[in-house]
This record gives sequence, structure tokens and C-alpha cells, in this order.
Amino acid sequence: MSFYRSKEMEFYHLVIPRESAWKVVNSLGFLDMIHFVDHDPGQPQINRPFSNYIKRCEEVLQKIKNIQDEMRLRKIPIKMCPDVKELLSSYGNINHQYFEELEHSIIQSANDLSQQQKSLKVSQDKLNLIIENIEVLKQANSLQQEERDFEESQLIPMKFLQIVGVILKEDELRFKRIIFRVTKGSCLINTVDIEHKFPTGQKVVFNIILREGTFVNEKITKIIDSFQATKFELPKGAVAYEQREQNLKQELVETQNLIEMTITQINIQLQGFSAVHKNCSQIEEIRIYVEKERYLYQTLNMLKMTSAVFSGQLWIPKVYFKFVEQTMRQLSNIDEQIPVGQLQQANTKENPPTYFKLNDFTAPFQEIVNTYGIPRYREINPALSTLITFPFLFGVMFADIGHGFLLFAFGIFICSQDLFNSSFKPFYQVRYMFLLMGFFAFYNGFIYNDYLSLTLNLFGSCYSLNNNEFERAEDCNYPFGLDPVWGVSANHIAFTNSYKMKLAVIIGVIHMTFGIILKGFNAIHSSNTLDFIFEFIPQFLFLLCTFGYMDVLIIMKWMTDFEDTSLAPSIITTMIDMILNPFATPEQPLFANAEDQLKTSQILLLIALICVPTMLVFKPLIINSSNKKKQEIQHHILEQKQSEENFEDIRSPSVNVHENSHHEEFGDLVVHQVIETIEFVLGSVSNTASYLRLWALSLAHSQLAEVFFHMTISDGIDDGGLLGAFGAIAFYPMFACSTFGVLMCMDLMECFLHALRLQWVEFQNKFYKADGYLFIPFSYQKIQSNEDAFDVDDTKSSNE
Amino acid sequence: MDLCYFAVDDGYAEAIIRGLRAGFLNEAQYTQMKSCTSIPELKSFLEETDYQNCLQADQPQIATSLLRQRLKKKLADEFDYIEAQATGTLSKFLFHLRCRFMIDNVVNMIEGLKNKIDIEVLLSNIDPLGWFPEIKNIKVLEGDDYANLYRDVLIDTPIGVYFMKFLDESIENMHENRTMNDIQNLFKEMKPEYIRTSLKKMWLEDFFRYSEENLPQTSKEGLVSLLKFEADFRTIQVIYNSIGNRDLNTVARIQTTRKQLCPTIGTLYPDCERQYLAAAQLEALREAVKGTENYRDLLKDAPDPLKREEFNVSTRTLDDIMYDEECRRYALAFDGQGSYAVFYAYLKLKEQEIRNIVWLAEMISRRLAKNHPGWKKIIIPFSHLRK
Repeated sequence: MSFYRSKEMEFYHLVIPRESAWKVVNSLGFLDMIHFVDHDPGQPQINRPFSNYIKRCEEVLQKIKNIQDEMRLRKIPIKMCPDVKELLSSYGNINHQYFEELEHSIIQSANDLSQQQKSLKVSQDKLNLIIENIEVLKQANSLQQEERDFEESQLIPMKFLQIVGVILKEDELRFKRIIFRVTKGSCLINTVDIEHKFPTGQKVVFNIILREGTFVNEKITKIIDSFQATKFELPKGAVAYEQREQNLKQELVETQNLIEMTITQINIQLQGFSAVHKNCSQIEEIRIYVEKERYLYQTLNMLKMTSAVFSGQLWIPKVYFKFVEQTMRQLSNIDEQIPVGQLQQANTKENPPTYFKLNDFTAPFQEIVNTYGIPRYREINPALSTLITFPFLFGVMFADIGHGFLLFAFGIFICSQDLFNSSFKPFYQVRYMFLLMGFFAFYNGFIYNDYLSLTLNLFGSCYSLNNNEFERAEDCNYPFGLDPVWGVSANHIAFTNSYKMKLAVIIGVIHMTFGIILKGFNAIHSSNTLDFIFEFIPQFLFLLCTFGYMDVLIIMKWMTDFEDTSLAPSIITTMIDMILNPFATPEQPLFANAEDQLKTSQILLLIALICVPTMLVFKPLIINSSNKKKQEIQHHILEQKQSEENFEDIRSPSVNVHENSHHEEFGDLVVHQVIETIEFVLGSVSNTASYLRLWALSLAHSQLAEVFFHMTISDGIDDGGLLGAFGAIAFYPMFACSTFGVLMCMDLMECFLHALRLQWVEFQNKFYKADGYLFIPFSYQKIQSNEDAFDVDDTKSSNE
Repeated sequence: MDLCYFAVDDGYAEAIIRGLRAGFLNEAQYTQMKSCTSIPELKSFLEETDYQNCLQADQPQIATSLLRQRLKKKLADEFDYIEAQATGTLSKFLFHLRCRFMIDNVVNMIEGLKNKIDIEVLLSNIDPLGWFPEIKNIKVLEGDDYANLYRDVLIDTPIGVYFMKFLDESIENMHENRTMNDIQNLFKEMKPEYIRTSLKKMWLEDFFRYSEENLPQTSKEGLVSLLKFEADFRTIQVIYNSIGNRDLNTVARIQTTRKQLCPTIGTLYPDCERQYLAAAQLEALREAVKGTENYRDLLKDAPDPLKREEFNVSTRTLDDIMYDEECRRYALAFDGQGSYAVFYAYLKLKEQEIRNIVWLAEMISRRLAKNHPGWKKIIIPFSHLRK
């Protein structure tokens, strides 16, 4: 029953000699059974003994990440590790120096890689420069041609100066403007886009022509320089031009070859990392090892270091202690020279952590409960009953044979399939929950007899149509669910509303009563008589005497066969009369005898009224008096001690006094209890009303389904014939889409949320303390093969 | 009324700022920083704070200048992000804020070029908040020819307006029959610090006017009071620093310079202008500002500028006092709702934080003793609110 109450915990002191600390803690990591307690959460990480190791691990991880990024860029496959624990245990007997070897080799290869990348970059820059130069020559040549033609046509020959180069496209406009201002407009700037893509962005060739002899030449050079643009000398004459072009082309080919070679080299090195060894790529294997190392050191940092030993505090579930002990004994058997240290049970004032052993089925339900609050240590775990109540409450709201079946089928599908590598992976965690939700929606659909807003006549209706009147066959009961005839009757909605509403209240009262009973169990478990007598019992009686009685009335009314339905008593009126007119005999009694009913209701009301002051008064009074007694005793002891020890050691008793005065004041107790009582009394009304959402959402669901059905295919079906068939087929896509989108997605979410609310507010506030904290095992399982899934910082912060 | 509509356009940007508030280092963290003994230790401490990502790629033994650059880069990234989310008035407003950093960058570039510092170094030291594409073209500057620099490069930039005004004013203030040579001499003698102060004054005036005319009511109120204080702060600083300054030897010269550098806004202008322009001693300055707000209290503790030589590191200078007061006001402004003053205050407070960290890094790298008075010389943003 470890899911009913959390596992029993024991607190231990662990003392390990310094030299074997790594080994011991390393082997404990395979157990997943130990919760380490930080000896001083306030101490900054930097001041802890292993912070420099963590730093080193992080640096290595950064290097590994760089290599992996490079591998991804070059499309070299990395195989992830399927089982981290298996991989780590395959290392066998190693020690902490192995990390240093790894660190060394990784840093070495990372440096090699960056060296190669650097030389690659250099050659690529060179390549770009050559390409730029070639482009410039191409453009300049065509311009020079024009210029020559122009010069020849001139009468007075004028000398022109030509400056060419390459500049970034984004700077082009500003460049032109500055040149224009500097030369005061007496120049011609020409730019041509280069098609080649450069890593720094689009570039353009610029070509400035100005009259020779102007002084601005130097200034322009400076401006070109300040734009970090490249300027190229132009060869004079056609021959020199061609030669230059030849040279450049040759260089281009050479550089390209060089680049290719470097890339192959890099690839070869990266291929080495990709090689599969121990079921995953080498680089991934190293990453996991280093990740483990970091995790290990973070855990070691939680221990307290004294000169020769590490001492730590830890929680171990009682049932697991023997495994831990066994592991430590084994370790000393393997190598007798290693002192393993010792575990000692100890006492602590800290509350133990809460630990449940979860499986794929229970995990999502526990998650629902944990989102509200972690259960207190050894408190009844609401998740246990949630396993069924949550899907059931959902099913009541989502009740529809058709939709429920779809959901159920989907649930079966995701449970039977291996989802891990499919597109349904997000559902993997919650697959059993979906299965149950689908099942209960399906089941409740039969109870309400609602199939996509139609009723199904599965077992043969008990009514038959006779002269436009329904007649009921004698001694006939529809075996399961609602008689389908209601679906065609005029008062269909009125009937189902009243039926669903009453059902909702009955379910609600049962659910809440169950919650209160759990409170009673909690009180018994913690042997808190006060809570049992003055909280559980009055609350239990109060709810049963008021709303429990109402449920009884509802069921009685169902069982009674009224000749004339207008004579049937209204339950609401009966309930109101019970409180407002407690002495008036009911006019329309439900009981066979009106006097009996009056007496019953009077007695129940009396009990309920007595319950209120019982809840309100006794608890604070008793707590207060017991506090006073304790204080008196404490004072007595204190005085004695002080007189005995002659005020020598005042410090420790004064601490005691301080702790005692920490008890709540009487006023606080009273206020607290008043709030608690009012909340319960009002809550029992409003919470019962809150369960009406079971009816409201079911109504909304069925009405939506009806609207979609009538707006789309129903006309076609009603018309019949060929035309009707075509109409129905034509409208079917709309029907399917709206059913899927609105009902199967939106309404599903809505029902889920409302079920969640009923679970959290109406049910859990009856008994659930939710002030525990989670047991976080020191476990290598957490080092996922997937990079983002593991974040030690998260576990750390929730730890503190 | 504008409070109702504030969130429509600017709610998101403001929300981001409020979120970034959590990134400020608190007093406990400052105490921890002070206890660091080496730069790597400081760096690894900073990596546990909001500054984690911007420092990760660097060597543990990070140089102070690089550290400052990284911190500024982070601030600039945040500011860029907010600016990208801002629309309409707010985005114009934020751009105005940037101009201050642009002025700093331009003057730093000019100063560096004059001292023949390598352009790459200068470019790498640019404050990323005030980056604009033309900044690298300042290299074109020849000698002290600011007029040409303006005409060739700065004319297109957002701060071109201020630069033009500055050139106009400088030339106007000269005597009647000036020659080309005189103007060149004027530029040659001009200190970059002087350019900076005048440009910033113009920016401040311009910003003040902009805030007064274009911003919604709530923002206007918040900003105008902050800017008025800043203007007064500038005025007091200028007067204070010019007391006993040897370069300004004649009474006429001292008055013109002061007049050119003191902003024409704020609570002190124009009522006390005549008095403070003429102030030749600290006492006179105190007398001049006594009628306004609490400046007299602030100046009461300021050391006498005539005894400047006696100042040492433990002296609480006027700047320290003023920064402290400024920080208090910005922290208060930061808590105001629905006002653009929040953005202004955020920028100022973050700057103060960066100054603090860099100062501490400097102290640590010099290995000063822990009882050295310099350790106390940091002003922690938001620390005033708790008192």
C-alpha cells in the first residue's frame, strides 16, 4: 500500500572518509533510493568543496556541446543512448581520475578542431577576397572600355582617376552620400551587385571616377578604409589585366582545393566521435559520463566537509535501507583497502520527504495531486482514489456513447502502440488516464443513453406508441441506462435535466463524504483524538444530516410511484421547510407518514445544529489549556534549572522558552477555528452546488452535439431518398470537423478542467494538508540521453 | 486619463521592464561580491546571477574593460528588445534615450583619435547602447577639424543636430573679427570633455522639451521632475568644478564658459542664474541654490573644491552625494505606474549597477585591503527604498 500513504522514511548520518567519498557516492547513485539533505542551503555554491570540479565539468560539457553542434552542422549522425544507467554501470570499477583523462582528451580534440576551423576560416576569407577581386576586375574592365570610348570622343583630353573596391551592400547608400559630400558632387559613383553570397552579407562593387588632380583622393582612401571596405589596384592595360585575371583564377582553384582538404580533415575527426561504442556515439557517451560527474559533484557538495571526512544527512525509505547497506558492504568486499564509512540512524526535527513508488499508470494522477500540493509525510494520498474518481467525474460530464467510444478507442490505441518514436509521444505519459477517461465517458454515455445526441434503442423500449400516447408495458424495466423513448418525448430536456442534476448532487455528496472519512482516517493515523472528535465527527454528521438526507429524499422520490405527478413533493421545498419551518408538518410528505418525516427532519436538523458549535468551540479551548500547562511545566523546569545552575547556562533554556512562545496565541486559534468552521458550513452548501457542474457540462455537451447534428446531416437523413443521401454526404465533413474540433478537443479540455477543479477544491479541501515536500532520489536515471530534459539546477532549487 | 490607455500600446514593454527588475543585484549579493578575492571568483559569482549568459564564453581572468563591455552588451540587448516591442511615442522616446550614449561614443572616438589610439580598440570599446552605423566613419577626422567632421559624417546622424548647434555656438561666442585661423585655434584648444558637456547639455534641453511637448500627462510629470533634477545636478557640477579652475582665469571667461555649459532648464534656471554664474566659492554656490528643494542639504556635506589637492579616495565627493540622491529618485520613479519615466530610470539604475560591478572588479584586481574606504563607494539601486 505504498501508494496509499507515502513510504516510511528514516534519517541517517553518513560519514565517509575523504579518499573514498567519490567511490561511495558514485555507487549510491545507481540505487535511486537516497535523498540527500543539503547541510546548509544558504551557503553559496562557490564556497563548496567541489565547485571547481563542477566548473571543470561545465567547461568540458561546453566543449562537447561545441563539437556536437559542429557535428550537427556537418550532418554527422549522433546516436543517443537508450539506457543511461546501463552505460554508466558498464564502466565498472573506476575512480575519479577517469574524468581527468576524459577532460584532457576532450580539450585536446576541441583545440585541434578549433585550430582546423581557424585555418578553414582563413582560407575561406582568402577565397572571398579572390572572388571579390575577380568581380572588381570584371566590372572595371567593362567600365574602362566605356571610358576609353568616351576619352576618344572628347576634344580636350581629360585625365580621370578610378578607384574601385568592394563594400557591404548595407553601407552602400551612406557610402555614396559621404563620397558625394566630400567631393562636393564632382565624381561619378557606380555600384554593381555581386551575386556571390559572402558570409558577411551581400556585397557590391563600387567604382568611383573623379577628375585627376583633385585633393580629395587621400580623403576618399580614408573613407574607404573607415568603411572597412576593400580597395583594389587596377592593372594598367589590357595585357596586364588578362594576366592578373589568369593569376587570380589559378589562386581561386588552389584555395578551393585547400578548403576541401581542411573540410575532409575535420569530417574525419568528427567521424571518430560519431563511432558507436557501448550502444551510442562516443561523444554522447563522454557527454553522459561528464554529466554524471557533474551531478555527482553537486551531490557531494551537499555534504559537509571536515578535515578528513565528509558527513552528510540523508533520508532513506525504511524498506530500502537493506539495499543501501548491501551496496556499501559489497563495495568494501571488492576492494578491502577502501574504507566505506558508515551509516548511522539519527533523529531530526525536520519533516521527512514524501515518496511514492510510481508507475506509468499512477504517475499522471499523482502529478494532478502534486500540482495542487505535495502530500504531507504519511498523509493519505488523494491520488489513490483519484485513479478512479477523476476519470469517472470526467466521464459524467463527457457522457456520450459515440464520443466516449472515440476517446476510449484512442486510449486503447495509445496504450497498445509503442509511442516513443511516433507523433503521439506527448500522450505517452498520460495514456492510461486517457484510456480510463474514455472508458468512463463511454460507460456514462450508456447510462444517459446519449449517442451523438440520439438515443439508442438497444434492449427494446418499455413504451409503445398508442394513439399518440406512450404506454408503458407492465412490469417492464429498461435493463440499463435511460429508456430510449425519452429521446423522442416532448419533455426530453426537462426530464434529463432533473435526472442529471439529482445524480450530480448524489455523486457530489458521496465524493465529499468520502473526503471527510479520509480526514477521519488521517486523524486516527496520527492519533490526533482532538481532530477526530471535534472535527471529523461533527463534519461527517453535519454533511450527512443535511445533504445526505437530501440524497435519501431524492432516492426515495425516485422509488415512489406517484399517481398524479402534480402531487409529488418538491425536494427543494422540503429542504427549505426543514430549516425555515422546522415545526410545520409537511403538506406533501415523501414518507408514508408525515409525522415521521417531521420527526426525522427535526432530529437531523438538531444534530446538524449541535455539530456547528462543536466544531467551533472545543478545539481552541483544549489546545489553549494544554499549551498553558506545558508552559507552566517549562517555566517550572526553567526556574529550577536557573536556581540550580546559578544562571550559568542561560542560553539553552532561553532557547526552549523561545520555542514555546512560538505556540499560537489563543486569539489566533479562535480566529483560525472560526474561519475553518464557517468555511466548512458554507462550503458544504456551495460545494454541493458546485457539483452541479457535472450536470451543466453534460447538458452543454449533449446540446452542442444536438446542434451540430441538426445543422448538418440531420436534414439529409430526414429527407431520405437519393437527394437526402447526397445532402447528408455533402454536409458530413462539416459534421465530422465540428465534432472533432469542438466536442472532442474543446469540450474534452473543458470537462478535464472541471473534473480537475472538483478534484482539487471540492474533494481535497476536505482533508488534504498538502504541505509536504518531494523525495528527490540521487539517481543517475535523471541524466537523460536528451539534452534539454536534464537540468540539475531545477532539482537543486526544488530541493532547497 | 492616459493611464487607462497606457497598457494598450506600452503595457508589454513596461511589463518586460518590470520583469527585468528581478535581475538587479540585491544587497546580499553585493556583500558576497565584496567578499570575493579574485576576478575569477567574482566572475563565477556573477555567473550565478542574471549576468550568467553574457559572461559564460569568456576566460575566468576577465579584464575589467571586457567585463564592462559584456555587462553593457547585456543591457543593450535588453534595451534593443524593449525598443523592438515599442511603438509610436514610446519608440521615439527610447530613441531619444539612446542619443546620450551616442554622444558619449562620438566624443570617446574623437578623444581616442586625438590620442592616436588604434581604431580597432576604439571600436571595440564603443558602448553598444549608442551604436550607430556612421560611428566607424569618424576615423575620417583630420586634426581638429570638427566642422568638416560634422559636414562629412555626423550630419546624417541623430546627434548631428546637437553637433551643429555646438559648432554654431562656439563660433558665435568668439570676438567680432575672427579669422579662419582663430577658429582652428579654438578647436585645437577645445577639450573633448568640453565638447561632451556641451553636447550633453543640448541633448538634455532637447530631451526635456520633447518630454514636455510630446509625452502623455503621467509620463510628462514623472520625467520632467527627473530631468529638472538632472539639469540642476549638471549646473551644480559645472559651477562646482569650475571653482578654482586655473584654465579659466578671467571673470568674463569663467562666466561665458559656465553659461555655455549650464543647461537652461531645471529649477535653478533662470531664477538663480545670475547668482550661480558669479559664484567663486563653495559658500557662494550654497547661497545661490539655497532657495530650491534640498540642494543646500546636499551641498552641505560636499568638500571644498578649492582644497582639491587634499582629496583622497575616502572623501565623499559631490559626485558621490549627487549619484546617491539620483539613485534614490530613480528608484522611486521606477515604482511609478504607467509612466515612461520607468524606462529612463531603468536605464540609469542599470548603468549604476554596471558602474558598481566594474568598480568592485577594479578594487578586487588591485587587491586592496578589505577595510579600504573604496569598498563602501558603491550605490546600490533600490537600497534607498527600504529605509
